[in-house]
Amino acid sequence: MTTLVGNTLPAEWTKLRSVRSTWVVIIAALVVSVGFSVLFSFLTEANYAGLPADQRTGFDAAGTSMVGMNLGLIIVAVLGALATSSEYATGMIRLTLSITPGRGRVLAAKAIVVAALGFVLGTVFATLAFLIGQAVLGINPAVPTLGLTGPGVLRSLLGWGVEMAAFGLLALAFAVMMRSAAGAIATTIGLIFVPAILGAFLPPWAQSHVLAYFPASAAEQLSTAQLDPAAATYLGPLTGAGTLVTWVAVALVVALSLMGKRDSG
Amino acid sequence: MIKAQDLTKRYGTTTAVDGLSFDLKPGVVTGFLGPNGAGKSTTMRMILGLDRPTSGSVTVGGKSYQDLPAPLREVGALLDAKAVHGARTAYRHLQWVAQAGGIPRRRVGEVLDLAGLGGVADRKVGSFSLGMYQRLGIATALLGDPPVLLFDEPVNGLDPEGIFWIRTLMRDLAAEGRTVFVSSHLMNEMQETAEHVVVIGRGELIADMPITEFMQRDSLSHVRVVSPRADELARVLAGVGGEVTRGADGALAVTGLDAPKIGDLALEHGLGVHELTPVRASLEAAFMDRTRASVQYRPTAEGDQ
Repeated sequence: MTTLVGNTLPAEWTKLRSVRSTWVVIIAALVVSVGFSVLFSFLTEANYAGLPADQRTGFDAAGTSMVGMNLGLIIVAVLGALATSSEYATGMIRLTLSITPGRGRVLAAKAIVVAALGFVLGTVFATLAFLIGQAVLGINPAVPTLGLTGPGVLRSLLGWGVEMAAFGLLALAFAVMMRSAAGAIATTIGLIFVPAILGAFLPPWAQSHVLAYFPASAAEQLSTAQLDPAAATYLGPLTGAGTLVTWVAVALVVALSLMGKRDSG
Repeated sequence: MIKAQDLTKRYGTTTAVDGLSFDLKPGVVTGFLGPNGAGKSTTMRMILGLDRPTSGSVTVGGKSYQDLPAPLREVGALLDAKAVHGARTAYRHLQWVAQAGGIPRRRVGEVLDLAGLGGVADRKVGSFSLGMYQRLGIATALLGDPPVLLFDEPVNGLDPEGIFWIRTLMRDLAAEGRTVFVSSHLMNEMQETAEHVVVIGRGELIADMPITEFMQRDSLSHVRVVSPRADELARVLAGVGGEVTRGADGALAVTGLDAPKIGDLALEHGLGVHELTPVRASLEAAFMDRTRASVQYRPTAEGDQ
């Protein structure tokens, strides 16, 4: 008798770690997440005196030091898509499903592996970006910096873990639905950037009633240390988390039902 | 061990498998024959619970595949050898399969050696030749030491040495009491390996019988006779009940009389014979004969013999 924890989960982890592309993508995500953040911290520190007065009074030290995380997020989402799309592309999904006929168990194992990896990467990258970024900002004594116990900082670091896990899972679910890496990645990136691009053009009611419930705005409620309750897309951390979890759950349920209906998963 | 009952699979208006029933016995190699597109792969996917039958059922050891507690220990399958991730090494590929199927890790090394891949275990699969892919697929199928083995076109891309290896392997596996089900569109291959055949065309069962029986067709076994006085000889043979047809090269194809009898008759009548060859029906010929109606794509201006 094979089990999820004893068999399917270790097998999915072996699959993910035994291809070089996984590690290439992780290193790329690290370089982008932390590298861009540190670079931006250097620029801010050097040009702090030149910033507009309102940006200095409400200076977002945490956000400044983690500015690269949004780009790293895209790369982690790619990882989630590749974890599954490559099986459909090669046809190896048939081997997977013939060894483990339970579609739900296969999807659960993939989801747990992607979510755990996404959470660890998000939290580690955010912590590195934050710590290095605060040290860099501190070079200029005029810049206010934060410690790990600063307001919203711990929530933000763990929030990045949750956000990367959530987008990894969305990408995974889209990859199962579309059986294609390109489609899954494009859809996930679209979901990440739709709020950012459309936000400025939409009337305030649409921003607060529609846009706020998109996964990226919802995730921001967790990953942004310095939340602005006056912002149109403000939901607060709890509602944001609930919204994000709902998106992921719905996407995974749709993916599972398609796996059950289709021939060869 | 594998029992199909009225197994049917339709894709829209196309019927890939049509009311197929068979019952595979352990201890023999059963060949699964049919032209390309006959529904062999679809049937194999339905046995493995990958494709859902439109109607009918197929069971392994009396159970539906979905209900097997550890499928890899029950059924080993090679469907498409190239359906593996090329960036993974052979060892890592087998490692995840073993983990998923609940097979101890040491078995990975054993099947790699068994398949002759021991020396390339740490090479990426993407660098393999087609023959090495097939060997990896067979190693994967053998990982769980299962009592039932399914091979879909296993000799594709194998060199002569590889073909000999897999023929021997399949016969050995059957001799150990396992159920071995091997599909092929190459009839001659089955002639060397299978004891029993299940033949399908256009998704329908054409034959389910021992291979010797399948090949025993009077119209296909004949004696080829070349004689300088063929016309006279033909009359003599027809006179004692032989059925004689004349080929394009002037040779006679005789049925109903065996070679010694024909030789004796020719001597009796003083007719010279330059060639006297018993021609056994090949599986190929028997197959062509039985499936003629069910070949999906035929040239329209085909001259039947």
